[in-house]
Amino acid sequence: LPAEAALNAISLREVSPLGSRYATLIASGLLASFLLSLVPGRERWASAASLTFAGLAAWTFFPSLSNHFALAASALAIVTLLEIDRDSEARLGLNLLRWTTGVVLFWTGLQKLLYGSYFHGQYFGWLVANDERFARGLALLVDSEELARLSKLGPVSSEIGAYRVDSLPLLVLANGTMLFELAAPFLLWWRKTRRWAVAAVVVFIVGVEAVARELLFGILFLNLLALFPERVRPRRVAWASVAVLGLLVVARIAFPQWRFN
Amino acid sequence: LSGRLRRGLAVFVVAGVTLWPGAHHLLVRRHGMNPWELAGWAMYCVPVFPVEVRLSVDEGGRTRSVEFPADPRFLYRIHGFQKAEVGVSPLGEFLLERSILGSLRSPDDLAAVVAVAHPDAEAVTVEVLQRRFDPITARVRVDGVAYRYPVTDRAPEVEPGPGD
Repeated sequence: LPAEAALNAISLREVSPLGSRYATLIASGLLASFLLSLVPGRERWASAASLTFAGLAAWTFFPSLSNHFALAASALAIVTLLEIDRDSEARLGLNLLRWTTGVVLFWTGLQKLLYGSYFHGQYFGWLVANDERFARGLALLVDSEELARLSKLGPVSSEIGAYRVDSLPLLVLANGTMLFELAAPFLLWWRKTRRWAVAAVVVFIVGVEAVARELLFGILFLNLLALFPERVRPRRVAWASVAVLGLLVVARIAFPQWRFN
Repeated sequence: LSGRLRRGLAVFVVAGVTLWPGAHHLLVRRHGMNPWELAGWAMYCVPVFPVEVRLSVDEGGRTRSVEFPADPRFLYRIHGFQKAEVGVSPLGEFLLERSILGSLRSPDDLAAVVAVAHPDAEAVTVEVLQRRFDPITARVRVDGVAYRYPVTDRAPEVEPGPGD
């Protein structure tokens, strides 16, 4: 959160009607919370302080809030409320954080099912026609005739069935993605499949986030996934994440034209 | 806080995280909220499009289109101090908030500003247009809703902007 806040403070300097002062206040508060978290025994205080500044940011920028912000705030609330140096509460906290991770995955799949835009590849068809980030990869799964048709559509075709796709590989990918997201939480929870499920979700998240350039959500989610396997030390993943976020801060300053979220 | 209460609150937070996306889905269906926003985990389900606004006023029995007034007096403060540094256009604010909250964000404040800028107006109409992706027909359709505000004797209240 603190490193991300610094990123946002730099962006807000450019676009926010608040100017940089208020954004800098929030970013500074979060950075101070981060420093506090380095003091042994003060993790809960740091978490509470982060949550306070995150709440201030939420109140200020509502309804313009990122989804991963809500996920991070939920995780901070769990860590703040529980005394994680006690074994019983640490176990509860771990299970609640794991549950939250599974819930996010499950709902991403269930929402796709409820919106119904993956059954016939409609949404992927729209992406091929309009989103250059995804089009290059997805286009490989569409036959040339269909690709030519989709490429001419543009973003707002009102023709019935315009974005429907018939190419089997793309339909398999669309429906497979939805089914994977629905199944993954159960595979993560079941001890026998957990290790492989973590590996599969990591590959999936890295793939999606790399294409979508949603680095911040990806980093947060990888940290949550690190709570599943017994052998992985989440603290190491967290430190690696802080290092990556630090690099992103430098990149944002050095190359302001770069865009990622 | 007692241990029991703390643990209960933590479980309550997670229960909220678990159930909220269902409510979010209903709000999207009912109020046209943005599926991508507000932690409903419905990103990459459907594309979303910008909101457009058309403004018109009734004057002397005729309806004519108008632009949103560019007068800096209509830059106003929202939430007290937060946006006081430079001021924000109510139109920009509306377009952003409407694109996220759907019909839960009404254009009342826009109509008030237009009414002030057009003192002879008998009514102000704000038409909000939103393109939506329809998964059933696999195409994009345009939804429009018109809000009509008869101008009464009561002057619309517009908070003065910085510099007033």
